[in-house]
Amino acid sequence: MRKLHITNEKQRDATVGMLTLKPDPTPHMGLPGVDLEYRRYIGAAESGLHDSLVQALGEDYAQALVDGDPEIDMEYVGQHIGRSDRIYLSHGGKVLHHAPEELEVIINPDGSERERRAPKDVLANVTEEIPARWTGKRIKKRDVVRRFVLTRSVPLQHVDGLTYDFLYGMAKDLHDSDEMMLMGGGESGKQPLILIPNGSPYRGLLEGRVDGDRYILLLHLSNMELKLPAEGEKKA
Amino acid sequence: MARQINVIKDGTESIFDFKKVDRTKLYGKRKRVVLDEDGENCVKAEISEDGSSIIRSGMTMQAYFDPEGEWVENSRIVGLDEQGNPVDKVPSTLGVGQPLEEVEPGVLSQNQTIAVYHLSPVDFDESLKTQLDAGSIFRFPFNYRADYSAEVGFLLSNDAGVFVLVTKAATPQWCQLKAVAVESFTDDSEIDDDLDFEMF
Repeated sequence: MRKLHITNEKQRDATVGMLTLKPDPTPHMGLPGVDLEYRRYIGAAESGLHDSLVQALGEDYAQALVDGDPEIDMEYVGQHIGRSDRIYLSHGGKVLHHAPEELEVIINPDGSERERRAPKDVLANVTEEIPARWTGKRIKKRDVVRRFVLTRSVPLQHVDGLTYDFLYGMAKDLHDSDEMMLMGGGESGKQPLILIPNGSPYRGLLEGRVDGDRYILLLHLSNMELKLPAEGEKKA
Repeated sequence: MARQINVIKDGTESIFDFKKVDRTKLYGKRKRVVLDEDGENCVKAEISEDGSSIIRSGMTMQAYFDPEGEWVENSRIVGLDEQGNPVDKVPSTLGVGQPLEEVEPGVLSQNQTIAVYHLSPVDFDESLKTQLDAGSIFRFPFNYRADYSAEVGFLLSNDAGVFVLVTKAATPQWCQLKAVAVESFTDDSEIDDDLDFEMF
């Protein structure tokens, strides 16, 4: 279980549990009464890939496929693929045996490249030392869902009696006001939340519900507004 | 003819063209590229566990196999419920009028959004438009293509236009004093994968 360091309205902090909100079960694929395994296998050897076929047979190799099945390597095709490791090949197709150089490429909304730069490591701004802060900025639930795409929701749960009171109080406050609370990260408590190193920044919006002595407290994460691309960027 | 989203409110149908909106089209994106010693882009590949095979993009396929190791044709595969019983296929909802049900914002916020569409009205019921402009949110069954489960669509509008959010239903559990979150040492990796926010 991951934990979240978080403050309430009085800027009291506590560390609570982060759960996973899984989608409700949906049908799975299979055959009635038969245990099927879904697995990967070799569908083509390297000699059966497009580039190799062009090299061997020329650009117009369709008839050759019909006549002689040159793309099928009977020794290789159909082999089950078990565990494998990720590797990088050079542009010439050779295995790299040393750590490659990485570049970060920034792409504009219209698909054009804006910048190439050395990758920058970004630190998480919600940590054991830095809590996700209750900013005091309240937004009506109806306005939140009409303004932001809630990409992911993380249920928060108490880890003991004290944190039950802590989280229940937050949930009841937000439930009664029908609002969500904007949560902030970083020392200032005003930044979007970055929950893991090199993670994407997300707006954090806290929603609470109570029913008697039960509560639900959801930390919604959003990295997208509900809007259209700017006019000049639509052609992307 | 392009497929459309059709919805019905109080017996009156509204029809919309639709276009997907994604994050890249709004904000662009950041990606990491790997370069070889000549400064050229590298290609991702895999090496088999025994080191005997290099598997490049385009060389793999996926399929269902029975316990005897025989390949099972996709046409035989069906949807099964939790008890293993076959379920009926759900047809595509595109082009077919779907009933709207007004819901509270909390119904949408607990679902997981998987796609966003911007709608262009072809035939827009004035009464529906008025309710959307006032902030109403409507739920309806949505299924892009026929399969074994429909998603949940939410119709709403804001200053930027009319949108449908396609979601997967999720049901958060109520927390009670006696049931505390407990430290687990067995499923951390699974949860860590779940919380790989970069995947979005």
